[in-house]
Amino acid sequence: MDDYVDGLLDDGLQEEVRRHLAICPACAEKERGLRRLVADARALPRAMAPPRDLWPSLARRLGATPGKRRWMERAWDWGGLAAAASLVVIGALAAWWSSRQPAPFTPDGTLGAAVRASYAGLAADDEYERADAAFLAVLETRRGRLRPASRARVDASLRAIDEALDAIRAELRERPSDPGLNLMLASVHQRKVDVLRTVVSLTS
Amino acid sequence: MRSTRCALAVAAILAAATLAPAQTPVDQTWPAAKNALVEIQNPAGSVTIKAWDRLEVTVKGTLGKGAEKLEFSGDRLRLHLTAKAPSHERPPESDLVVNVPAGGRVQVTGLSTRIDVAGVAGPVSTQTIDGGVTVSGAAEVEVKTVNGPVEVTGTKKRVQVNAVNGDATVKGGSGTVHASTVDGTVVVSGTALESVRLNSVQGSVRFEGRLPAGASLHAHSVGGTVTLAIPASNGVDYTVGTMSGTIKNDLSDAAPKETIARKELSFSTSGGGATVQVDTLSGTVHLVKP
Repeated sequence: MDDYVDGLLDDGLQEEVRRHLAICPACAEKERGLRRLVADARALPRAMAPPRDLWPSLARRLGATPGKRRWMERAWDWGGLAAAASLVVIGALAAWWSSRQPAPFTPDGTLGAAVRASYAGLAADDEYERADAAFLAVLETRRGRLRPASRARVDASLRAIDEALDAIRAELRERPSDPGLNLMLASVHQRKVDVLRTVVSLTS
Repeated sequence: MRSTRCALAVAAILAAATLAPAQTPVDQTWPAAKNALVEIQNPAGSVTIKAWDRLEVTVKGTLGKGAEKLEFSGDRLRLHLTAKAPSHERPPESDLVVNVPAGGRVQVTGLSTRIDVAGVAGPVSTQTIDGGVTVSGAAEVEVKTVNGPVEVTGTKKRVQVNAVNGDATVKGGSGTVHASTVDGTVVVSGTALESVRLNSVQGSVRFEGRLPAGASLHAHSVGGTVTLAIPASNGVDYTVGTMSGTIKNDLSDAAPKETIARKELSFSTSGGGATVQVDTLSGTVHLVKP
């Protein structure tokens, strides 16, 4: 996708991706998100690290306080959610942009290995947790659209992800610099965001 | 007497209300280009898509009780159809059978919707939370589902299945397959796939079949089991690693090397040629004879 955004694909492949984007809203959203991220990353001064605590900005965009749920429900803008996910990875993307390492995203839209490897797993944990909480707050307002059995299965899968995250964290405490574990943590976090995003999107 | 007549009238009205059709029939046709993009949104019920050789899109079926209408927008290049339902209620179940040009492209979105697509040559994309999905014969398929089972067969170029807890099966075809699950089961089988990527959080993933020379299979799992059933007569270079899981190798005598933090197994069958890489945290890796 990033090669497409950068115009690096040959003409045939560029056209093939363009045609796919025309019919696939998920990939089209990823493309738009990547273009926004690249634009944001370009705007960052190369010598300045992005702020560590991204939550204040995230919370402002999402209005993620219990008292604001109704407002959130009314005003929910998918772009805001994409921006939330974008904020989680903006620091990593900025690093990528500075070094112009290839392939920040894999073909399935998750963060590429080069970026994730430079992305300290446990240090990013809090940001992901906060992003998850924001998605969950929105999901809570839409639960009525799901059948009870469906809700139970979604909850069970989210618990399965949380158990996996706990298991990875436990290993990471023993070996915090293990690149494979850091990649795994980022990948499972990304999966949780994807699941929440899918459910929130389809129940809107 | 009058009260009897009144009672009969009320009973008749009630009976008529009871017998009134709960669903509204739909039968509509629009002209379409041979490679038209057909987008369908049906929040609940079913969508069955069949390809045909006419340059038309038809929709037949029934709108569920409470559904407002079948809304159409677009033109012959891009047709957008929505089974409109009140937004704050559990959506009514509408069952739609849609014929599209064989060279068309299809995108279906649902909430509790069963989706079946057959014979469409162009790319097919579906998203649903509940309800199963089957797609056969498309060039490219992208399926996102949460609870429903998925079955994709005979895709020629690319399959991407993102399941959460529903079981997913990808059979045959060529090109690339990327399949992931959280805690469901993914089974991929084939003999001509160039690239296979399987990802699981806690669910089990399985590949069965053969890998052509130069093909690659990558499987990653946190706690779920990875099972590969590839015959030893298939030339494959295996690299398998796990942190706290178990590696079972029925294909050769090669045994995993253990360090404090990891078990790793590398070996080749029949001189190698294709590449298999598996990595788990605590999930079992089982290399079985087919």
